[in-house]
Amino acid sequence: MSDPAKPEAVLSFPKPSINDDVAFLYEGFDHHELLFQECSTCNTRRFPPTPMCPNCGSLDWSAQKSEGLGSVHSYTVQHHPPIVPYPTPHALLLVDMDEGFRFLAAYAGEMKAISIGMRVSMKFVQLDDELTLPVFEAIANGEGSAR
Amino acid sequence: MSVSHTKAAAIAGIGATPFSRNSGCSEMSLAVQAITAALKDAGLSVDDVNGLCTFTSDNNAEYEIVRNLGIEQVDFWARAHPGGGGACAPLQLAKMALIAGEASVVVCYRAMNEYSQYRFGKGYGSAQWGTSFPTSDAALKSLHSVHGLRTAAAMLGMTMQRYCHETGATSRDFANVSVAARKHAATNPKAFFFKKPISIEDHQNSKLIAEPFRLLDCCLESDGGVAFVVVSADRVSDTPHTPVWISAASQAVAGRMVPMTNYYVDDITAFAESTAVAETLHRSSGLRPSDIDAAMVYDHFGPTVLPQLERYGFCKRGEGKDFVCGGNIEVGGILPVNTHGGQLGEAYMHGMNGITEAVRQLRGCAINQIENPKNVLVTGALGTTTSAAILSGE
Repeated sequence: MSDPAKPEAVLSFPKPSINDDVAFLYEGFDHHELLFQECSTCNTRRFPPTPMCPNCGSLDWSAQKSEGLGSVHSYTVQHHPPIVPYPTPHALLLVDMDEGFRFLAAYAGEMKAISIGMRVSMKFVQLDDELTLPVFEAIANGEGSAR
Repeated sequence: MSVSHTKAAAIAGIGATPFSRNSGCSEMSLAVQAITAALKDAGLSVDDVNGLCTFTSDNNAEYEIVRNLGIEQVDFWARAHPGGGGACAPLQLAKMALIAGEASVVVCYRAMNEYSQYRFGKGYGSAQWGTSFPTSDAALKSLHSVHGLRTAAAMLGMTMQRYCHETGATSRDFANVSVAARKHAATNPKAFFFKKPISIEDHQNSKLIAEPFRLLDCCLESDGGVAFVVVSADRVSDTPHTPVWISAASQAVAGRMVPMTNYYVDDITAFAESTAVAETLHRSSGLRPSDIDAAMVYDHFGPTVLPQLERYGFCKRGEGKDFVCGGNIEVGGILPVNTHGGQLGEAYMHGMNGITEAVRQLRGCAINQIENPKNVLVTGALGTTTSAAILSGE
């Protein structure tokens, strides 16, 4: 048995579990797009992905493209344990997207600048041969102001 | 459940193995040792057992427990999901089985080599958290884990950061929870942190894990086993101790939640599931927060004690930071919390050791005994599917 106390015994990067409900999201990432669901019956927007609209029960939906702009709802900065393949410390933002849904992703930028309410935009990074992911960046005052 | 069921089921026996970071034995060995101790405490034998309850995260299959203990026949078994959130759910399951007449003696158990064999603190993606098969739950977890959100500390840190923003609570406020737990553990020989109290400054100087959580906000990681025996009212007279009645036990999922990462509801610090459980407990037991003499509050992360005290009615929303000050939650305070040291100070046993501590308090034999308690609240983890119970003496 490996020594569980040693950080190198920790973790490798887990391949994401992808099923029919979430596949469109990862396909969107590959095209540098953040997609969210909109119900074709009651027009309610939803995230995370679900097969059925929790508002009206409809199975019909369309994928809508987000502009990638939003405001920080909350955040955490992880200092321990190290989270491969990310650097330490590693910040995560939970963002109120301007389209009315909430989305979590990593933050690329100055940790000390993070605050609740901060405006952010999105860029895409290729994590490995198979996975492209969005990350948030701070945007200067005045740019990308909330609609 | 109606008020008439407040004396339908009682905890008649408790048992535990030593708590450690290396048990030196299998999880099954821990389970049967804890169960044997609980049955001895209850004055019952394995032949009396006809029901079993544990958690979906426990690795010890019921039929293996039956075979290892040499029980002749078991007619009822059920599991609560998954562990910490469901800490008090086995009490609900056992009580329901007794009321329904499906069993008369139900053993609840939890045994794990959590530290020596896996360590939840390592995070999602380790064998115990992940699955390669894309169930809806695994696909949902992946939406977070790909971005590097893989530890319980970071998952709940996100939520508690927002709580701080909304309530003005600070890390220094959170320190009160850890100091109280370690004060209680310091006089508990079974506690991992026996004779190791801490100060507010120790807490403030401990390293950051996932903001706003520091190391001394985080629960222990432990090897060990805990068990208790739940009996129907008509079997109470067969047992030697003062019965500890399950006045109420409830669990809830509410508000379209995502367990541990409940980020998609409008108000991520509403903790609607805790409010739902609190209301059910008060309705079905007829007891109010003012009737509660002590609380074993689930402390995977000490700061989560604050919103739990709010949701279970001991103070108003946002006032947890004031409630935990000034020794209020220490023995001798207005609501002693985690008098055994909790999972911050005694051991991490998915809350089962909070239940056994409540039993000791109500029997009058706790190491940090409070004066003549009548009712003790026990809670499951905040921020996930949750559960709680009110246990009562005679």
